[in-house]
Amino acid sequence: MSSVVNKTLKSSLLLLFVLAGCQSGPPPEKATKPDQPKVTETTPSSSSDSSSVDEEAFIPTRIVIPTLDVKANIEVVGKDKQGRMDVPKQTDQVAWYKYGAKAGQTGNVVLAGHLDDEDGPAVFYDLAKLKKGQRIEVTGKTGQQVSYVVTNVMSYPVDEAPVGSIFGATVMNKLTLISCIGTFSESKGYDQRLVVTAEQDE
Amino acid sequence: MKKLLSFVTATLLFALFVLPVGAADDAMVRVIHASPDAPAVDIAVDGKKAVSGAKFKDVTDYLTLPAGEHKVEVFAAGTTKDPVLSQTLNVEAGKFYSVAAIGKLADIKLAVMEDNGKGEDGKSMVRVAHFAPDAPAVDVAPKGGDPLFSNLEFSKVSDYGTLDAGTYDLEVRPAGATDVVKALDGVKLDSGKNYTALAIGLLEGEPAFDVLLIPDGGEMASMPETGLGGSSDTTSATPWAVAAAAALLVGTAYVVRRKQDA
Repeated sequence: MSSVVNKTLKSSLLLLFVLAGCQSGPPPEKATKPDQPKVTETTPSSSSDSSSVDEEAFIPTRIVIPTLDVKANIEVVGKDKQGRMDVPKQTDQVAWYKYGAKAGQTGNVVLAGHLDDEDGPAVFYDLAKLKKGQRIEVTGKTGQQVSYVVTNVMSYPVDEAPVGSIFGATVMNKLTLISCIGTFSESKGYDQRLVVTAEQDE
Repeated sequence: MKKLLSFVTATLLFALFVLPVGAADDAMVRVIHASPDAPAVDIAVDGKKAVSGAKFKDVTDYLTLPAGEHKVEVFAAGTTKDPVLSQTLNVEAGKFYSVAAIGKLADIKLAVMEDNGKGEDGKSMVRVAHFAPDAPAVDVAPKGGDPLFSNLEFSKVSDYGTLDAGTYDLEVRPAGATDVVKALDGVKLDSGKNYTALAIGLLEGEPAFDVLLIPDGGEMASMPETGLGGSSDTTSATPWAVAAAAALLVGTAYVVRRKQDA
């Protein structure tokens, strides 16, 4: 009997959230509607050798994004039961996908952080404000550090995100930051994902 | 390692275009430009441009394509008519593929490889693809040792061989011979990762013969659930909105109560 009451209470609360959400309008990130570059003008540097930094590859433990004043610890995650990349347990922290690359390594270092929690903004709330050319610093347990330069900021409907280029092998030293964006619904969460791509700074 | 094994580096000047995706129903497909005298190319999938400006030695990231048949067309960069190549590609859900444009431009063709996406802890799986049109059949062996891959001809791709993760000094030799076409010192094979060694370029002339070691596959995942809905101005909702919501809540509770009572 009490569980029925609880359920009622819970769904009522959710209803309140949804209603309040409707009134509050879309989050400010919407302003940064991703540009649709047909071609990313990345200057090629075929002569350089990214494998030289492989020896210093490390598990990232902390991320700093100076322009957004983001400073956060990083926890290690895998996948959840639905096969999604898992999320950090604490919403003020960032998650590192353990099946991807380590920092400083050829491959894709994948980090995810929350846009918000139940109460308000979380660690990657301002992520959509990142611009091409801005820096992301990643450090390891013993102080190793690698910096990445943002090359692209895009949002995608959640089931149209380019998972192949995010989680698949790559010949570049890449960093991808993922967060939520778009419209929130109780049943589906946010309907879009923000994907920030960065390349290792030589 | 540095000198001899030229890892393809940040040469990805071309963007990967967004193609419709449905997670588990998709295949992962990447493109390799291995035709030594072909110009930079654009690639269209099902009539939509998917890769732009790929040049010799470029390896794209994996594109996400729905399982099934796709029409792949290769154009000289910047053009949209008279494809250099046109071919139907059939891909299965959950699998990885590498599609390489190989051979000299006069007889360019596509080589389609299924990539092994799954790694094994402590091991590394490696295969060799012979995409150097003027090179003889080759063996690939540890320095001075017995071949790991034998008698591989142009346009052929070996099966994957499993090695312990670690660093190897390998060499490419003409099949059955002991002279060295190319020494590959310090080839680093990471635990749980799979690789394709691409022999490309020309023995006689430019671009010169080279071996690229590229990582294959990857541990795919769907996008994380990175938001719980409480952000921005939930708290600044106007009082009347809150009041309305509260009124609705009371109403709902009343109805629920009525139902329970009934």
